[in-house]
Amino acid sequence: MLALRAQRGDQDAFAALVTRHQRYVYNLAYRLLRDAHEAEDLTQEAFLRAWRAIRGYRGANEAGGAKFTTWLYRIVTNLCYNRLPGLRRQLVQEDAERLERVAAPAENAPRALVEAGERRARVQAAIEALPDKYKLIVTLYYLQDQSYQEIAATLGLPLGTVKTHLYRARGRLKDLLAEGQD
Amino acid sequence: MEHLRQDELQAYLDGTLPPEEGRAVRAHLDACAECRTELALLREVDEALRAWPVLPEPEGLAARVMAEVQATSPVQTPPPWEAPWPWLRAHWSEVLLGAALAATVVVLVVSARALGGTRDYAGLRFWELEAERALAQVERVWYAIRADARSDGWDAVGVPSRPVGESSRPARYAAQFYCWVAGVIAGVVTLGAGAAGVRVLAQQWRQGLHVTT
Repeated sequence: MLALRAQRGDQDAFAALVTRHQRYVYNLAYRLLRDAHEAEDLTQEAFLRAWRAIRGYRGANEAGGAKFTTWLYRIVTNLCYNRLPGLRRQLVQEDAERLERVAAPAENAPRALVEAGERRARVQAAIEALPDKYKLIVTLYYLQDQSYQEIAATLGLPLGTVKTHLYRARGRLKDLLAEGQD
Repeated sequence: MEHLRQDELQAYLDGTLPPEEGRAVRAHLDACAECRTELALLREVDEALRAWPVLPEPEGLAARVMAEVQATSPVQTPPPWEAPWPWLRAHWSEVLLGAALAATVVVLVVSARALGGTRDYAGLRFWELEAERALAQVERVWYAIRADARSDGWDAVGVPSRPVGESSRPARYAAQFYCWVAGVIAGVVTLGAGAAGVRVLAQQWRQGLHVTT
């Protein structure tokens, strides 16, 4: 396993880890920071920290251990917290709004479908405009393919909070599409 | 018919519902056009999120990272007896916690010994005697005022006038009492320091940076 070899000081193994994960780390940083230069800077810092701390990493099969990606993204998100001071607080606080049931559509609402390309463009714009906490969770879920549990472990949040954030993020985007449909 | 909740629909979409709940949601969807529309919209959102463009990393990023890595060896942690200072620097929070706990134990033992000079004064009995002494003192002051300071044995502040050098029980009680108070304060302070140490440890663990330069 690459992480184990890196722990023994094998730089080639660590280089392989960097090559494997750099795109995801960079994109996670870019989506939150919205600046290519800062995202690159954060990526470098994250890997350097990971290398310095690699001996402290405990694999998923050890007590209190985690997957390498969970551990690495924990470092990345901690660096993001330093650059985006309100992010951690946003993540911890759950919004007061309740998860509602599906609402019945307004009577006789015309359901003319907006052209598919335009709808996609609207959603993409809305994704870019999501609050940082939703961007972070959505990116971990879709780009990094982390499960709810892994996201909770990465961010040190309760599982329920992670689910709520994910549902709310998608709910917002869905409402936007529904508006476009009416 | 009551519609599905957003979280049920989304969990269904993610395939994370337990089989039984999944079947119930499917049955509802078969019968409910509104919820089917809702699910279709959520699918669209899901696809859009999957299609969020992934940028290529900047050219040469890995090489730049590795150049920095090569200049930094991961922290070697030699045994503490070989290099005590770096070890202390890396483990100061544990050391602080250990020291705080040890100090608390020492303070409690010392104060317990100070209080336990005789069995009668140890523990709760001490407080009982303290309360009794305080009441007696009030009573003495009352009598001293009433009977005038010149009358036998008591002055105006209620301290018994005894030959110098003879140990008075109230004086010894007071010494023990202040010793106990000092012990409690020291205990609280050291426990507070210990708690701060634990907090730092937890923070380091969360950041995955337990071993740092």
